Amino acid sequence: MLEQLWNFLRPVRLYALLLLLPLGWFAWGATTSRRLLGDDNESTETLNASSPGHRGGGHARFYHK
Amino acid sequence: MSDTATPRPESAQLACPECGTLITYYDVEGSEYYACPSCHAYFKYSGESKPKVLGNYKSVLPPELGLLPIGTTGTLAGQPCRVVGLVERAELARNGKLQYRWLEYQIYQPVTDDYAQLAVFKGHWTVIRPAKQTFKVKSPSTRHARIEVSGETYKIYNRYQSRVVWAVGEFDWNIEGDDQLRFAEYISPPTMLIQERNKDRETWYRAEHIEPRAVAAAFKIKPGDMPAQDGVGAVQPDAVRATIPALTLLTGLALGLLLLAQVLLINRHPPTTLLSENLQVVADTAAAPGTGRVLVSPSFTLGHQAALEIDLTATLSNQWLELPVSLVNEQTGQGFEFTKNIEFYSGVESGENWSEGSRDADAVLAQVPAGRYHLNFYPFTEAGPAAPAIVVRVVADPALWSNFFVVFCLLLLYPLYQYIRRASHETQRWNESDYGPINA
Repeated sequence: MLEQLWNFLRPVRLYALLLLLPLGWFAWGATTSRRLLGDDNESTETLNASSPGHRGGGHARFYHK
Repeated sequence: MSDTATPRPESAQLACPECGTLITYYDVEGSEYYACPSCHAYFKYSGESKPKVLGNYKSVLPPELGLLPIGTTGTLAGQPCRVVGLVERAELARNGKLQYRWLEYQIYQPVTDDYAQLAVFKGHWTVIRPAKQTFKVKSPSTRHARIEVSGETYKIYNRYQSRVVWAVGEFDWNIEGDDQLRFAEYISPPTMLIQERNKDRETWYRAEHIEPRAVAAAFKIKPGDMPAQDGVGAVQPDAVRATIPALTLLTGLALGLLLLAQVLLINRHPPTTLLSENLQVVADTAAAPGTGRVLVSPSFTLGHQAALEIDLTATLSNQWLELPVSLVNEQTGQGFEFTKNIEFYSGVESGENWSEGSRDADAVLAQVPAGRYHLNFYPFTEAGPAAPAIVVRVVADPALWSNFFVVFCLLLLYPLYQYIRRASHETQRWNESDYGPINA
């Protein structure tokens, strides 16, 4: 049955590989809790937020509890 | 018996009755009509009597003959063959003028002693052979005329009469006698059924699409020398069509997988409300008019790195609010910022209620590390109206549906492109016909 399915999908095997790109992109967004089209963060300090950066810049300097 | 059989000569020669040029012909027993390559006289010679000149094509500009000259040998459908004649035909329009010219190469297959024709129109090739049967046409006089054979429906594509414009080579029938014939073409790509009829008889032919590279291979021509294709041939198969079922299945599987992944993501980390607070904007009398005092939300804890959705609702009444917001990590000082401009206006005009803008806004911050956070608000609104209140709600692990829909659309891009290609292919095919669905 798998062989039949493979033969059936054979004409679009390159498209099958191509599909992995958007699906992989989705998986990457999901595992890193990213919004794929970008989020609303405007802070230059945390635009690349995966690693905590040094302090400084923007409103974040003010009103720490 | 074979010892006494006379082998059929491969070729013979005859002299043109007009110019005396020696013409080599190959269907020694079958050919009776000839068009001289030198003076273009068209004559009949059956070997018994004197050649009879029937006409001349010298006043016509000949078509490009370099591709398959008379005498060219090749192998068509596994059979050795030779180009023995060429006819340029044209469709006779209702106004008596000629339109849509095409070429028909007469291909002689000596082993089987039969013929095929290679027709080419706008770079699209078909091999035509006698069908050796007749077909029943349903609704024959209408634009919905069709033939149903073995589960295939052949739709009417063209009805016409043709005229010979130019010819060269040998023929086993009087090509000028075709003037009285009426042709009807029925298509089910890659096959066409051609009905040829006059008052006395009806003959059917079957034409199959053949790719230019196959013709080039059959006669050992460089593929690059083949005439360029223009548009879509009458029976040119749609390359996309064959891939549609597999494409549909694969796209369906991918979309299903995407949906499953989204559902699993939501179940793994369901959206959690970390903060829900009502904050009142208070004017800062020491600052410029409209400036509010900085508002600080209660602290909340994010247990793991996640995206945060911050929903804001302001009790605005015919005013605007500019609201810079900072999310501050109380342990590391790391900050995230965004600004929302919220405005809402409403009223009654000519008895009709109207409103403009919205009281709500939201923002998504991605990859917020685990930690303890609070929000700072720096409100600025127009001076005068009552200071608004802000309802803020912070949700961890919101369902990022935008991710889902972006990828969903990406997955549909290629199938959509193929669908458009397919539709365009059929549209172009039927653009050349008077019987297409578009012309209905």
